Amino acid sequence: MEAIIIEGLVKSYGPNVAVDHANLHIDEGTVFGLIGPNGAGKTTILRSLLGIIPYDSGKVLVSGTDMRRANPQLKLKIGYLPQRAAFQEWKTTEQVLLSLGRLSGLEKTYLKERVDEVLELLGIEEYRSRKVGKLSGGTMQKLGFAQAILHEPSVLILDEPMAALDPSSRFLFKKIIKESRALGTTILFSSHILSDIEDLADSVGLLQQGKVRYSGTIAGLKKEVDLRSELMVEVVDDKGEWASVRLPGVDIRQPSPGYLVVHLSDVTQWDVMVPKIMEALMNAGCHIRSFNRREPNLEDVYMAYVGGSN
Amino acid sequence: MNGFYRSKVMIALLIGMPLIALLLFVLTPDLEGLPLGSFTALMISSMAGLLASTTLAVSVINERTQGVYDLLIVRPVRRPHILLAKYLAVVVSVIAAAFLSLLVANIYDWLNNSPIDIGSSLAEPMMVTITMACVSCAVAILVGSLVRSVLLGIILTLYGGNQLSAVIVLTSLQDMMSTEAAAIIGLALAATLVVLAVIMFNRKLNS
Ligand SMILES: Nc1ncnc2c1ncn2[C@@H]1O[C@H](COP(=O)(O)OP(=O)(O)OP(=O)(O)O)[C@@H](O)[C@H]1O
Ligand SMILES: [Mg+2]
Repeated sequence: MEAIIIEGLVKSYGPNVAVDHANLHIDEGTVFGLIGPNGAGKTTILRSLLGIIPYDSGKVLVSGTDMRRANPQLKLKIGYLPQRAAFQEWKTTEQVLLSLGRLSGLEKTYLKERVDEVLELLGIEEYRSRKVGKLSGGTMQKLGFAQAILHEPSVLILDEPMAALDPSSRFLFKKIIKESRALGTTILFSSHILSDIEDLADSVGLLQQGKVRYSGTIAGLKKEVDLRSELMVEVVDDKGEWASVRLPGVDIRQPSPGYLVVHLSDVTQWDVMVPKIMEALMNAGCHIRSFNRREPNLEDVYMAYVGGSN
Repeated sequence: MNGFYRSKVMIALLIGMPLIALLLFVLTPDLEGLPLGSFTALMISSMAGLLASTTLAVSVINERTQGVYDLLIVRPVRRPHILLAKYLAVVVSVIAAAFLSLLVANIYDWLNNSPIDIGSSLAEPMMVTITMACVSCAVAILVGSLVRSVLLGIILTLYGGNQLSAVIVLTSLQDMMSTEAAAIIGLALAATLVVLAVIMFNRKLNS
């Protein structure tokens, strides 16, 4: 079943079209990653979905309901981490969680336990009684995540959850996201950290200038862009000996001194060709320091799709 | 109702205002005929109103522009409740502060002059205070819902809110109409402004 359906979503700010006929379908219990350049419309889509902002036309459903008109119980199914979470600055971390948890309908004694639980889960117990106005950016982000998962929602919407985090906190967030997924939570998140998307997402949506350019699996996106895997060879004392190597269906280039990049016209032939290429290079007099074959990652695909400039 | 929106400023007001009232009376015992109660009411409610209404306007502007309300909207909270809760919290605090200071003032008066009926000498100034608090805080939430700039918000609240409430209260002090009539007009005005503020707040949150 589909947890989130977006069809023909249009949202403009004055003359500026932020989202242009976007379609996205997200299956229940899956993780969906939203990528795209700054200003592509990721945040706008998420906020329309949550009913925070009205949209011009289209259909936006979470668990089959339009959040603008949702009855209160349905809103409790969703947890939201904004791109820049803000709280009443005079409250402490604990007070923020207690008051938001109460608004999410959590019963008092359970809420207290649950607040302790998420503070510990995110490793921010030491900031329990600190005013949120005095928290660091990363801690604020953790508090934002804490309030999103506090009421154990079945749909999590996270706008750049891993921005502003140190490497181990990023790892922690990813672990929590994976654990939530294992429990059946549907997760929609946007991110510029493509390795995180590749690590977490079952499917991705690529957004550019308000339009959905691609929506589907990462493997499908890679196929669409048709990036081929390549062999990287590092050579010592490169005197251009490699230029004399001629093998059918093999293309050797030198992007920078000391490095060679090898492409095959037939990508099924790697197993046969790698030993032959190595042999030919050594016979030509190259001193090989290292070599490894690299599959294109999401970053390569993204750059090929979106282009370096935008 | 949602009392947790209350802030530290309000608590300071509750304690600070009676203290200021006390100080005022110690320093200026001779008030040239103006009834002591009315004088305190004006003094305190304009000061408390000044502080409270600008604080209220600034906090609405900040919280709105920073996106604090987004996290409330995605929960089962009605949008008008967010603003009304803030309004009520501040108005109630101002009224409580004013009541305390009036009480202090009247007790001082009672100790120093001939014994007077505290109950009746409290009623009219309280009516003035309540009216002023309601009007100036209503202007504050309206300004807070409309404006994005904190500076502009403060200026509009100061000049709009406090002048407006002062004008209404002054008409009664100058015996142009009864305090009751002035209070009714003031409260009606406040109610209109609150409704307007709620409408604007909804609209602005929607963009
Ligand atoms: N409140 C607003 N008023 C006017 N224009 C807006 C508003 N919010 C967003 N926009 C515009 O809508 C477009 C999409 O913005 P959005 O925030 O959705 O981008 P994004 O994909 O989330 O970007 P980023 O990666 O930088 O977060 C941008 O051109 C932005 O300038
Ligand atoms: Mg964004």
